[in-house]
Amino acid sequence: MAIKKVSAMQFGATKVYTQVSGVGRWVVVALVLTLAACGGSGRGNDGSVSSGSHSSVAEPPSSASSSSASSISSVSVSSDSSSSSVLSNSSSSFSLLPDSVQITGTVSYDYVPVSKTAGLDYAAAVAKAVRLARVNLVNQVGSVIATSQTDESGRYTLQAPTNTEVKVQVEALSFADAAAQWEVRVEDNTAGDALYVLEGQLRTSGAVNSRRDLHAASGWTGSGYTEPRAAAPFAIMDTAYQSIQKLVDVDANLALPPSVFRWSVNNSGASGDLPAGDIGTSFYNGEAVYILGQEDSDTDEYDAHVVAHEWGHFLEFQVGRRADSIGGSHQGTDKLDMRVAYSEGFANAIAGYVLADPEYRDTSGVGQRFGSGFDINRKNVSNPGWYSESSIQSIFYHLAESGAFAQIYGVLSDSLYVANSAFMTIFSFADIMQTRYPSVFLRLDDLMDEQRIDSRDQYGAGETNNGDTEDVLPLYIDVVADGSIVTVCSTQENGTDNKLGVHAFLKTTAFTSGRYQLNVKNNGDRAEATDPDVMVQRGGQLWRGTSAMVDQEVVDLNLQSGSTYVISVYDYNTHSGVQQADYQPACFDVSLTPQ
Amino acid sequence: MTNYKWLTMTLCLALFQVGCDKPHETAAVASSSVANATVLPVAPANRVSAKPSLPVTVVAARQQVNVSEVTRVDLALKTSLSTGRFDVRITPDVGLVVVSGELEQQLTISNAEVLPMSLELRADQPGKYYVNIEVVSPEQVEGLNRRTLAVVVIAGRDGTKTLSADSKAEPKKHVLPAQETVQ
Repeated sequence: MAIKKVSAMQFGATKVYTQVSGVGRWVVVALVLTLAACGGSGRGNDGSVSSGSHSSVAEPPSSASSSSASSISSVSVSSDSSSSSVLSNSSSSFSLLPDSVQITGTVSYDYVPVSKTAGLDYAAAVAKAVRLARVNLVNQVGSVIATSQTDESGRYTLQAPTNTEVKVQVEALSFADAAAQWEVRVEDNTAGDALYVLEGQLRTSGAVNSRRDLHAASGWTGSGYTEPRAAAPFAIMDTAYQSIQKLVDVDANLALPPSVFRWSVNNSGASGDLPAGDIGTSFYNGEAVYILGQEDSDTDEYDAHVVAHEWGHFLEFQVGRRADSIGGSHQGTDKLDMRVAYSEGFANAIAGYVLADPEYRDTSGVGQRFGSGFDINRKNVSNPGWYSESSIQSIFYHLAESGAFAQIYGVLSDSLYVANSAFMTIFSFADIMQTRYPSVFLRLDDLMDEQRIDSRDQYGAGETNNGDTEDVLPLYIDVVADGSIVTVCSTQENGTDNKLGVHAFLKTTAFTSGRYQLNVKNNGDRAEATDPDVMVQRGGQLWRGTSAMVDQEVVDLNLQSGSTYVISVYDYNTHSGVQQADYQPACFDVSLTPQ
Repeated sequence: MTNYKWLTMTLCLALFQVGCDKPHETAAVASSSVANATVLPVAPANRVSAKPSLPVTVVAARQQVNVSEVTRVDLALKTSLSTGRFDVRITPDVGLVVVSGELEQQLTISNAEVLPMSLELRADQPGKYYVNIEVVSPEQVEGLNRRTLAVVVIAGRDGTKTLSADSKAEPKKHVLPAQETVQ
């Protein structure tokens, strides 16, 4: 008659059962070792038995190890001779139970590559390791009873109590907490920002070491996502992991705030309700990166360039500790507001550099079969200049590829970056680079020349490239804080909102601290009603005047003596007749008066 | 007219632009006896950095219709491009009956003006529906030449209830099943 041993350990007590084969029912034959009841005795972490009681059905084997000679906690005849964790004596058929076993395994996900000529290439999907993810051991009631982390190859090891129903749970949370400290997490914005986790089945841990490999499948079954899209959060996480490693390469003591991504199968091109998935597009909002996920429309979880681009905005915001971009729709051929061009070009370059792939691709459409993109590496761009994200991406990408990523990161994390009084643009970046890293600046200087950017001054002094747009140079107009009037114009000839010429820029330095009134008034050149709005900034601080007042905006400010403030003025109203020869931009008289 | 105060704000969200804090009056066009859908307000989302894309957005991102009533849903597009054309493919959710209108259209871009487009739809059940819009700029050889958009159509009053995030008081997990190999 064979006796199989099964045991279950609970904290503070070990229950041992035997099963009599052929009879088919469980008989409790051994004891409950309760530490408290036994005067604190029990097993050590190494599986040895320090004290205890003996089985009611068998005597302890005399050949057992000295530590177990007087106390046997289990009796069994194991049919598994390969057991390494159970001390057995084949002649006596007695064995010692460990209090825990190892569960090891690997965690992987389906990586679906992007075709450079079409959309997602499901046929070329491969399994990739889930790297540095938190792994939990979860018991029957859902409690986490052990935690570990995957390594670079996706391998993990967990200690499990013997013969206990447990499942392995892998969080979409990758982290490092050694010298470099960072964290990536992927949440479901349509489920209260719940963290995604990959789970195996509840199974007994057994009495010997075992292996459980977990794989997150894409859910694609040939013609659609008919199975859960388990791989998606881990694909996003891995792109972020790749991105962060580039930072770790240049900063071994990196301390980065958590990179939070929010993805859902419900995240669609509709706008207006983030918790419902109506996110409009993939974006970063200063809090988290939202990623599209609606099948047959636009999914971005495998579009690594999109994910890395948005993470680039996170980098700019969190490391640079300021992000002056006003956001908005953009693409490479646009003539953009200089703050937008800088931010978007930087993010594109980051994507190309961290992925070691300058060919940006974004897939969409039915079956995710379509895609389009652009070459980040390209130097011969349309409309080159400080207002072109294509120019900026080319500059940053080639500078990073030349071996200067450490210096790019150095500028971004420099105290001058956050303290810079101008709006953050390629000009202010170059100004800081020239101060901090003169030798690398020479390379930047050449790259800027190639993109027809003349000035290296943070305020763009001396710039001559106006993007064929009147009134955008000089980049900043000085307004003296004594009530005198200067005139600036807001043109929509390159588009509305965030395009070149919509925002006009001014700067001022207060002579004395105190209250000032900023007054912006339509000067009458444009006959149609205007709605001037203003933004005032010093370093990373921002004040806005965005009332609906017709033809005027008034903002009261407390200015500090000696500090330089930059101001943007723009017409909120959309202009008609922009393409007509007699188009008249909106021009405003601006004054700053002590109160 | 109050409804149209929100039209520009809707556009603001779609563009993720700055300065969209206030509603502005915008005219709407009705060309037949079929009722127009009501444009719903959308909270602005300023200073959001979106992915690069073809510069096209919907004008009215969220609209409301009465159940079982044929209604014209505004699918007008706005672009900053001044020339060219868009090939548009419209895919309404199951549950939205297309009464009139073309699901595939070619729109000629003229001086960055709004490109009118609409469908007459009927929803026989209350709820939230999507009209997905795929826009391709076939003549654009450089950069991104595609974008997918969607208009939300709320049928009936019940559907107007906004979904809200669950409490963050307790951390929650979204469980995905693993393919598991055990040895």
